[in-house]
Amino acid sequence: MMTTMAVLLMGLAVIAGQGQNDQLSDAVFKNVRVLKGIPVDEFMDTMGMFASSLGYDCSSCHSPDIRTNREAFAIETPLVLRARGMITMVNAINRNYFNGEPRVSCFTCHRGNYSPEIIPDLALQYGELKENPNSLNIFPDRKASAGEVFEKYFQALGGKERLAKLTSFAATGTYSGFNTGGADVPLEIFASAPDRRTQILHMDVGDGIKTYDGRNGWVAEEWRPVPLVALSGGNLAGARLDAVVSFPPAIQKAFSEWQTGSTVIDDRPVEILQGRNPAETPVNLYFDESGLLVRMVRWNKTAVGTVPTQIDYADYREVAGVKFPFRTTVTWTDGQNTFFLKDIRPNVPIEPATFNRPAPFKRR
Amino acid sequence: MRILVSATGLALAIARLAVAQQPPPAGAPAEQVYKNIQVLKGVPADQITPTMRVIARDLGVTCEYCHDEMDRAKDGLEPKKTARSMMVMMREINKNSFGGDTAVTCVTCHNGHNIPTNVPTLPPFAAAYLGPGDEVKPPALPTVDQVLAKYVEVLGGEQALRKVNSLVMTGTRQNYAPAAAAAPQPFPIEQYLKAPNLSLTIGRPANGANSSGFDGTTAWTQNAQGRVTQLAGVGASRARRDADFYLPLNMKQQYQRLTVTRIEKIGDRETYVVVAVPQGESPESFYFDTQSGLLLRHQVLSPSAVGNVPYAIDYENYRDAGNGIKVPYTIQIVGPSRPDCAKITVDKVQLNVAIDSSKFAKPAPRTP
Repeated sequence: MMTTMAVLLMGLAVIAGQGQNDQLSDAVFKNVRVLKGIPVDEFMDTMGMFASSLGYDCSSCHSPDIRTNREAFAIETPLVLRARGMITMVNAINRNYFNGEPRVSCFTCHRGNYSPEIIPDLALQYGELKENPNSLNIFPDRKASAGEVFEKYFQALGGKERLAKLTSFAATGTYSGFNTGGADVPLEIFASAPDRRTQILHMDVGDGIKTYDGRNGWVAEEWRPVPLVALSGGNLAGARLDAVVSFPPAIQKAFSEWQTGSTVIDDRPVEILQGRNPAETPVNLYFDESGLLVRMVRWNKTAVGTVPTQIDYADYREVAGVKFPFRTTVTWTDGQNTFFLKDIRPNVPIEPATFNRPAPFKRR
Repeated sequence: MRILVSATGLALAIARLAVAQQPPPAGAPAEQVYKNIQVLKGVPADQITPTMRVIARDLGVTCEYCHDEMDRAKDGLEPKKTARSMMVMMREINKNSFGGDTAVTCVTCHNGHNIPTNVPTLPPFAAAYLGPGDEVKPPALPTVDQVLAKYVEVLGGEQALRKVNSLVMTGTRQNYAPAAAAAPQPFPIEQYLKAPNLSLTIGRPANGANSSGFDGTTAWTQNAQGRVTQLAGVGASRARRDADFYLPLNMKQQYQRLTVTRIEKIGDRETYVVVAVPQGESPESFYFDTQSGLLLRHQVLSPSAVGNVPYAIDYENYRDAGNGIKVPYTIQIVGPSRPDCAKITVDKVQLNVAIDSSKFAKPAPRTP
């Protein structure tokens, strides 16, 4: 199933290669009826919302012909029509009963199932209450201040002094995930303090580049029908965060307000720091007992509700006196990707053009 | 042995009696019985209490979340206003988007929380990557005939079951109160069952005996005040099915369709879930232990104004009751709220006791 998704995802029928500024759903994709006028990257996240909320992949709704022909994404199947009806229904519910706030999403009813529950589960009342560690609503506590958690984190990484000396790095490694069918492909990462980062995947089907230049972010992937996607909203904020966590002292300053809480991940207690900026979705950072960052959860608001992305950091190893997570696992609504580093070269000069907007790949 | 299954309807009837001391007259609409009914007009009054319990459970709240502690009819709390609007919304969603089917209820969104979630929980992707055609195969399930045959066998076998034609059980029933209140005193309970389909259950709490029975054609209950109610609809047909003394042998006669649907855990026991559809009624589920073959749970659905409500009757502690047949000595009723729950502990089971059939007849009302 995952391999099928690898081939299909982002393979929607495309009208034309557009400039990055007018990359709106109905201008780029054919036969968009309800989800009009939203950025392409957000449009893809709405597909992720459907998939994760219903336990589906692309071919659950779209025509089976999408396996061989991207144009087939535009075909109206009964489930595509049903999905349109459901989006209209959700919009009406939120408009009529919740003052237009996005209180109800696909997941509210579906919760991972094609057919939502109408009969209460008896275990609900008598079973053990399970806390979702990834919840956007944390229960603030005052066990430790945000400053103390950051201090412990910096200390665990090697100390502020050594961290301050880290101004850039270049890394190589491997990537595997939903779009490699589990196979490892070569990976390069370049980062420059405080917040610039570029990652390059060398897939069999071509290169994939993701860049954040300190202000803007892009994804250019050779195998995709949209040759260059400008990141927007939560995806742009996420690209910035990926750059910022490469240079930990910058994290604390990246948000104007921090709240602390605690929860449990895989039976281990963790401290949560929730960072907030005005008019942005928050970010949750999770620190284990040793003080190291083990998880980040961030969100993107879409036309059909908010979708999460979870990034797990593991296998910390020391490079030039500073600890780096050598394994990063990104879990999102449609799949999971793992970045495994083999070699990190700290403080190497990096050509500034590395962080420029990638040139769009030639459309195939 | 019929106690295995028959406890269901009777236990439920008593569960209701134990709570509603003066149940509203059957058929009266809510607005004639209760004050300040606005949205639930036309709903049968006897569905109001179950409906309120469903709402409380589906949202994980108590009555006082919406209602004044002393005067339930009084308005003033914001959540009560919201609840009315949500019931209107629920009807509208079902009417406009699902052709009037009850496709959406409170629990569909709320799932036990007063504020429903709207952010997806990420699915467990950690599982090994699957390739094309690597669809996960569902576990092989036995046939209904195999599950039922094993059930009959572990109860003692058809021959032994047929040698029994009546059963008298005595025990203790513990009801539960809302979380804030102290648990009520346990009280004695007795049950008389006779082939082919007669049943009588009597509970004796301190405030007066209540009873329920099936006389072969009519299902009835009598409350502590002496009032007698004849059951109709789902309640009556459920009582009729449950009164079948040889139900383990007659499952195929009592249910139009039986299907082994899945394996599900009850506590740490794995069970085969058999969905049993009675003609023209909502499905029931029977949970048979995959190892021992015994029936561990019978789940039924009761109607309310905000969708069907599940009640589970859990059978535990099976022991030999004589004549080589097994009977559960602990029966737990699990309903939507604590007052709907009860535990019955069986002290004594007697088989083949002579019981006059007139004992099961619908009694005349008694004035208190």
